[in-house]
Amino acid sequence: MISKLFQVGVLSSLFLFTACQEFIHDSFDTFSGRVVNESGQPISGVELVFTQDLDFSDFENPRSKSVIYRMITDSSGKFKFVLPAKNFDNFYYIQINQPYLFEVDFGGEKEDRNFIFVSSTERDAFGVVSLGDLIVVEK
Amino acid sequence: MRHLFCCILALFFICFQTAYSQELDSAKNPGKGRIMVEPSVELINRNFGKESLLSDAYQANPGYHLRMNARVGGYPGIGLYTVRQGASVMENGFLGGFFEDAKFIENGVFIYHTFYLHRRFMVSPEIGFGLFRVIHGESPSRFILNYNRFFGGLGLAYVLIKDKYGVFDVNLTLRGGHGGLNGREIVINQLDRSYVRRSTDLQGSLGIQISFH
Repeated sequence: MISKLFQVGVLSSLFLFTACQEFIHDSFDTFSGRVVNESGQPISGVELVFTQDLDFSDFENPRSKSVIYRMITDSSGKFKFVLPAKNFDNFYYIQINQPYLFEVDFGGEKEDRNFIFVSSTERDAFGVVSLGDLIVVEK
Repeated sequence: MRHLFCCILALFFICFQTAYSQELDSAKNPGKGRIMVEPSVELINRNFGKESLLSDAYQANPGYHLRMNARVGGYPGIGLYTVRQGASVMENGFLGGFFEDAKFIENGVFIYHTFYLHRRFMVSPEIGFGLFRVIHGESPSRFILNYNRFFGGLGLAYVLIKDKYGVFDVNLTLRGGHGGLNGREIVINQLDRSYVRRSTDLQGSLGIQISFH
């Protein structure tokens, strides 16, 4: 009886220890997509900031408090962010810099925002979260 | 393919040396037939081949290399080893800036053969296999990358001290090796897969070995 309880205790501890690990070993997440204008043409040279920490004190124009990656879309408007995969706390923001804004479908209505919210919970077997074409407008 | 060729070449060399050593004069092969246990400690440095994550994302610091070899004089031996190294994480597009430092830990096994060029000077080709781990951060925010490493190398040993009772020798060792790393369990997008999973390395180490016989 005691040995069974001990085994259950050890297995539970192992499960908790594994579940509490922030990162998934041997695994990377990739967020990839393409920045296009309203007519679907790719836009190169757009600066994107990948962050986990946005300051919403200016609600209309939140700014990143820390930066994970900062990159510029290539000649095809494509971008890619790769980082260690996480078990939890795996929500990020992609912030776009002026003069562009993302055109976001928000409950059926289109809104212009300087950020989008992404999560690795939608990753495929290779850790890829495909964001598709992100429409941006110039303001 | 190049690694396979190197491994075959090293294996051939070891087999050749095994056969050749049988013919050696006992004066040139002083420990023939004796069981020998040869622990060693070495200072090690490692450089990764270009065009890989391991090469671009880490600046390895010198580390230490502990080995335990065992053989019967005149025949190939087997050894176990462990390597510990620290590394600084360089700016890169894969680790998200989450880590400043990393630890390289490698444990493995190898076979080798010691060929006496002189009573005080030995050459030991070797081939082996190790599990190489890159450990970032501390638990529970630890991130580990696992690689398999196949390697071949050559060790030179010079007898510094000979025990007058013939129980042990103290040797100065200089070792070099080339390895191929494969992290086939690593999950990553297809475009970056080869860059992250594969690498090569060159190792060099200098240390002291005690040969008990």
